[in-house]
Amino acid sequence: METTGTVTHRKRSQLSMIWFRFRKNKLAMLGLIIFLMMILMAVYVSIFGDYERAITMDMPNKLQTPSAAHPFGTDQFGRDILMRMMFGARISLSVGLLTMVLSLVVGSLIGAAAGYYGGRVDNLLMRIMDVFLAIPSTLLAISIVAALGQGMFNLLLATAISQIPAFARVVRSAILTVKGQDYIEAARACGTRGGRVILRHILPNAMGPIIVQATLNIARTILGISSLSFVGLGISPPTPEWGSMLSEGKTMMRYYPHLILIPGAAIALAVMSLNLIGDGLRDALDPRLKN
Amino acid sequence: MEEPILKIQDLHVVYRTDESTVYAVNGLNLELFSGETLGLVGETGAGKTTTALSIMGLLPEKIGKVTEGSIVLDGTDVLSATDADMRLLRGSTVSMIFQDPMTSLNPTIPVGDQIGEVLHLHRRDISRAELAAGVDKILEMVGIPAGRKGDYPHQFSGGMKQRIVIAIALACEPKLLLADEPTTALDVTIQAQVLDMMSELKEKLNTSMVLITHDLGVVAQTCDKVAIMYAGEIIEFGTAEDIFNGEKRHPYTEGLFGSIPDLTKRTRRLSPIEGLMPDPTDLPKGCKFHDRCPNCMEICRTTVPPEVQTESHLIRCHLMAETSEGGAIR
Amino acid sequence: MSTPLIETRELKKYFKTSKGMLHAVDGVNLSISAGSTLGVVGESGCGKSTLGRTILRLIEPTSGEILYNGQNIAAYNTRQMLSIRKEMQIIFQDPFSSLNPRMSVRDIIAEPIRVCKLCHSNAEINQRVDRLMDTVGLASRFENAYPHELDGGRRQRIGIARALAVEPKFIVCDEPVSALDVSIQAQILNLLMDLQENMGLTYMFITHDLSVVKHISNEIAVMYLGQCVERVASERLFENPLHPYTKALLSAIPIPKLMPRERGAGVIKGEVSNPIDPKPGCRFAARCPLASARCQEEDLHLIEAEPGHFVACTLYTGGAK
Repeated sequence: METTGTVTHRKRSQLSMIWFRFRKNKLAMLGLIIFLMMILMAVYVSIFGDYERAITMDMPNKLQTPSAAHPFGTDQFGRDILMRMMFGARISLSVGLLTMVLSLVVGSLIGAAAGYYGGRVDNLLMRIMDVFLAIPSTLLAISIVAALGQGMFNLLLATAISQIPAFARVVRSAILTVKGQDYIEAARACGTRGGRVILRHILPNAMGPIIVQATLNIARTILGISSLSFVGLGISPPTPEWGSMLSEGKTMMRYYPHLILIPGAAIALAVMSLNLIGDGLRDALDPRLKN
Repeated sequence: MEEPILKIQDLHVVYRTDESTVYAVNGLNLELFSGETLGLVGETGAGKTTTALSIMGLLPEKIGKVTEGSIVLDGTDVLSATDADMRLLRGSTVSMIFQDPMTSLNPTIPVGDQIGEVLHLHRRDISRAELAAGVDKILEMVGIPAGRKGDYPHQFSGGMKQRIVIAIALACEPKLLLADEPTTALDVTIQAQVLDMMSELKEKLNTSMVLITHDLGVVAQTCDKVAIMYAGEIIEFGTAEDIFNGEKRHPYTEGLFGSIPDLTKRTRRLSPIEGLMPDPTDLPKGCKFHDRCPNCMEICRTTVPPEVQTESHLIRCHLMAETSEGGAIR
Repeated sequence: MSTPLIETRELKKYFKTSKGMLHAVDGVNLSISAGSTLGVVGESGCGKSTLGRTILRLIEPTSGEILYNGQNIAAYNTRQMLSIRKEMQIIFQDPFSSLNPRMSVRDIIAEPIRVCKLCHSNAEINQRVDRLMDTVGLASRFENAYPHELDGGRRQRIGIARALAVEPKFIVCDEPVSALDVSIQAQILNLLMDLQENMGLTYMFITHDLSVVKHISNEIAVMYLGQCVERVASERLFENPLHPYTKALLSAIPIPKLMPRERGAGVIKGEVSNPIDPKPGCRFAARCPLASARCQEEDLHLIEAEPGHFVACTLYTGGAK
């Protein structure tokens, strides 16, 4: 419905409208709550948790099933799985977030330049992106880590590089959608330069699809890091990380399923909640989808 | 006495969302007889499209609700009819043309098939050959060569798309056609062609029509009767003669005429109506036009004005009630 | 005679498409004197919007000259253009897409001032925005509102305030009232005319609505498929239209008066022909009731059929020098 009358009272701002619509989506709110709980757990674990129990070997107590002392049992080295899972969350979530931010920034710059300037610049940048997209992301990450060596930073770099093309694409198409609008021409009509047009006028209006992509991207990065750790190229032991926990437990999963069920469930929960948030955001940002 | 093809009584329609309730139609009364063309005039937000959608039973499902009143279409009570009943009526008894020809046609189906679909829906026993012949005939009727029936909508221009839309609407020769701003999106020369064609067809098929528009020029050219809508009510009704050449007019109608630049006169400044249409979620008491009316009186602020009728001309205004003599007051 | 403020000489804009060269603007010659309004009329596809944007160099011309105060700005480089950009502005048709939905009214109006560095402090900028809002009739209580909260008429006023923010001399008005309700149209037209009188502005008023253009323009240019087919003072156009297309356009306008009308009177047949790689000769010939063989042979130019009245039609070339 259009607004035909006078503004008699301050209608909700755009942000609170989006939040209002998001709140109505029960699944999205569920995803948000789960994810927030995981973050809280990751942040506060060092207060009420014990890092030593997560990494110190305790062979006499190895492979215990869940009990009072060890709510999730112990792994083959006697380490408490609950502690490992909670501390592992820190790495998975923080690397996931950092990677997303890195690929978002670089991808956005590339996509923005391609979308705004068009022509040969667009062609060149997008073909480079195509090359990266054509290589399976896990394979790409593996080759980068294999070349640069293990370690947190390289892991971050490898995963980020594999995610940049997706962002570049999304940002480019968002910019193309906004570029044709009259208010962009109005900005150019008073001599606004490219950089300011992109930052002040185009990007704020293209945020929707970018945010959705970013949320879904964290999920993908967590999976990616876990995959790398699974094949042994990620985090080195004894640092707990969900993917490496899966890897270590795979040989014994027949008799001691809790070794892989716990970290597997953690990964699944994190990814699922992020996907729900991402979907919810997409619906909340585009009201036309609902009515 | 002939029964009207369409009879609407005291219609009230609201749109209910979580945030607010929009009072779109507030007590509408309308009667249309066979072969007549009624111009439903008003600006954005007056409630014209809502009225048309209510007649078709096509109000948005969870949000749009008819809270009061009745709509009788060719003997059928629309508001109590089932979905199945309405589907039988749509296309065969009543058809609607929507505003934007660009989005009214399915881009993935050839136009001949889209016309054929309507024919097939309402004449189950029609044979293949008869269907094809029917489609050809209708295309010729709207001035499109029958050879183009295999083409897709994007291969036609805006004016031709609107003709196809009209063809689909008239395929089963409905008794009533609702046309919602059918030529607003078209160039003026194409508009002239399309309006011409519509009058021709209307005569040939003896179809009644409700033409929704904001353009008084179009109304003058095509309509027998005119209803002026404001904030969900009909505030003036009469024959074209009454509205264009009548002695008295509702102040809003007067304002509408004053807003149009006159091609024959040279005026320095236009005399637009001050202000804006009221917020449909928060309608004013009394006469809904009172805060923009140059002749507003005390009574206008508090009491809903009565309908003052002089022969065929009906005006809902306190001013008319005061000055009219011998006119029936409802 | 003083130099006109804006002049175009054989201005052309062609677009390359997969099917061929689209002649959007094809050799247009115009001149607009300071303080006056040129109405540019035509239907969709005639190139009027492209013409307006090309004159402001929002679209780069393919060839031809654009003279602003006698200087050919078509040849200016980016830096030179920057210095005169604030003298020529544009008002758009669509009050929805012409305003940045993420910026408040105040920000939208202040933005050009900031970009052109016209004020030295925030306080100055705010003062200027206040004055502008007042000039266009926007109540100050809307300063922090967002475009989607306001109606079409108010949005259009914001667009006008934004155009005026840099104190331009020339404004291209691209169908500024077409998307508005009739009663709001009248309010905005009055505003534009008052502004012209008070500030000495020059307008190019682009529209498809002949009744609106008569009201606001001194001179009218009628366009068809990228070319100007008739140009004359506005009153005269309605008294004595010469080009067959102009006549058809005038008779097609539905007049809000009851008058007996023959079926088919003044209705021109057919559709606009293809602007891609057009054939030589008059582009209206295919639909013209008065066309002759000559019409398809010669490329036409504007000829002064009577003093001050230019038309591009073979009907008037015989005997003209």
